[in-house]
Amino acid sequence: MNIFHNIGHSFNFANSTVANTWMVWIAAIGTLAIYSVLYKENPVYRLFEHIFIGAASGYSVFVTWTQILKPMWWDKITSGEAYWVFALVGGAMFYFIYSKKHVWISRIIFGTLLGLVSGAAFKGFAGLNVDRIHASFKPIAGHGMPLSESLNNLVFIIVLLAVMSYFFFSFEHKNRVTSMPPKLGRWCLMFAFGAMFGSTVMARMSLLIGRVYFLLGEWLHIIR
Amino acid sequence: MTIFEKLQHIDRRIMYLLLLLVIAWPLIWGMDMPIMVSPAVKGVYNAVEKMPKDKMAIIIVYWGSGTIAENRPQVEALMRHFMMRNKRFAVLAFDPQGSKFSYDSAKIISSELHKTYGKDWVHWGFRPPANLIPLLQSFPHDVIKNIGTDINGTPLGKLPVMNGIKTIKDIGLLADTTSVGELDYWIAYVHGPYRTPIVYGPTAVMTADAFNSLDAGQINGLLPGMQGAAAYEKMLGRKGFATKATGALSSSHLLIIALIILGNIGYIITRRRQEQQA
Repeated sequence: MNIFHNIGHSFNFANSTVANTWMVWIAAIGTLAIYSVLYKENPVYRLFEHIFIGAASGYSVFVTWTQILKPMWWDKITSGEAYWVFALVGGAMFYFIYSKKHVWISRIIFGTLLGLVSGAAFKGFAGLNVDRIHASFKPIAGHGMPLSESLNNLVFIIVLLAVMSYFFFSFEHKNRVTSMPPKLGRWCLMFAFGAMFGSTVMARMSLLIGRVYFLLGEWLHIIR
Repeated sequence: MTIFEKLQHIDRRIMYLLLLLVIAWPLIWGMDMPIMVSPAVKGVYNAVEKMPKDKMAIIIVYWGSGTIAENRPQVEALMRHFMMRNKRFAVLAFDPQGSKFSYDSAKIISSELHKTYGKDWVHWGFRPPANLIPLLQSFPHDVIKNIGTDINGTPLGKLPVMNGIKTIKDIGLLADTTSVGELDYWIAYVHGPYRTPIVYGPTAVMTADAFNSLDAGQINGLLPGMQGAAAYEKMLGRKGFATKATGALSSSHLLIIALIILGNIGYIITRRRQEQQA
């Protein structure tokens, strides 16, 4: 919903107080209209939802043209580097997916893209995971290691092994020895999910506070 | 319907109204809450402090209007810190709205701290997110050639801020502020092969996932959402939006905890009564 605010800033209509006041009012009305759905579904909410989507899409097209396609593609073609027109050919090949007769053309470009991405994914796997695997081998004792660090590392190793055992499905966890670690792993996962959900609540509250701050501050001017 | 049954069926609109009140109260009348600075936030601060002055930082902006309350305070605190220490930075956006927001923020802060665009900082503009992986593979070898122009269409080679910046070895820090979670790509394609330090500013939702990378030393620090930005503002000695919003964040959490407890009390007592009647 901040798009209404964004639009105002983006086009820099003018630096006058009147223009700024209008922008703030448009942003405030947009915010209230979108939040009206919290009371119940209504036509005003629907209208502003469509305005939001349209404005966001239109703005994306505008920025994509002015900051990417024009300087990096169109200007190059018009200044003599005509071979850049082949980028259009490559891009257009994707759209043959909509033609039953010529769908094979789209497969060429999709296949090329998949090959490139797969190759990059292999490289990325090593870059991402080798350090993490290395970091999971933590010492639990050592010369001069503080007790707190030893305990921390011990808890880390127990949790790591317990959670990994939870995802070990090769045999049934029947007896106590094989069933205890997965149970502990499940509890650890539940704690992790709880922490994640708590963070989610914090995130949603932060966004709401941002909007209330705007309404009370920039619009109504009643914030200290 | 008993009071305990009613506790489980409070109209959601009443809860929304309560939420509005507990958020508006601290914002209007003020409610200072202690802000704890975690080692993760200190890690971000120290990474900026340690960055050599002859190198450049890149602030990555991959968020839009939807998470502005969380990500913009992070970006503004980072920009302020770089400018206060006379360290160069570039902003690279993967969201069209975020591109504009970050440009506006940098202009305001640079005017406040008397810094000059093109000399002390630069905005590389928006790049399509679909092009992220190819960009990460190419720009480390030649930054100016692969980024091309700034947000205003000026070739990067013409800007004094880019003097001496050729490859990824001239980049001293990557600060990824995001609502998307593309950190793994930066780690995989930049930190992994080139060991460029990274600090991370995600939305609070994504914070829990980031601790893996923090523990493995793949990122030097972490700003968990708006709360992380508030802690960072505290380290910079400045009361920005995140600091002002901390009271509202705490009061809203208290309300939600109270509602969860009330709902559960109602549920447990109602169930016990039903069991007794049966």
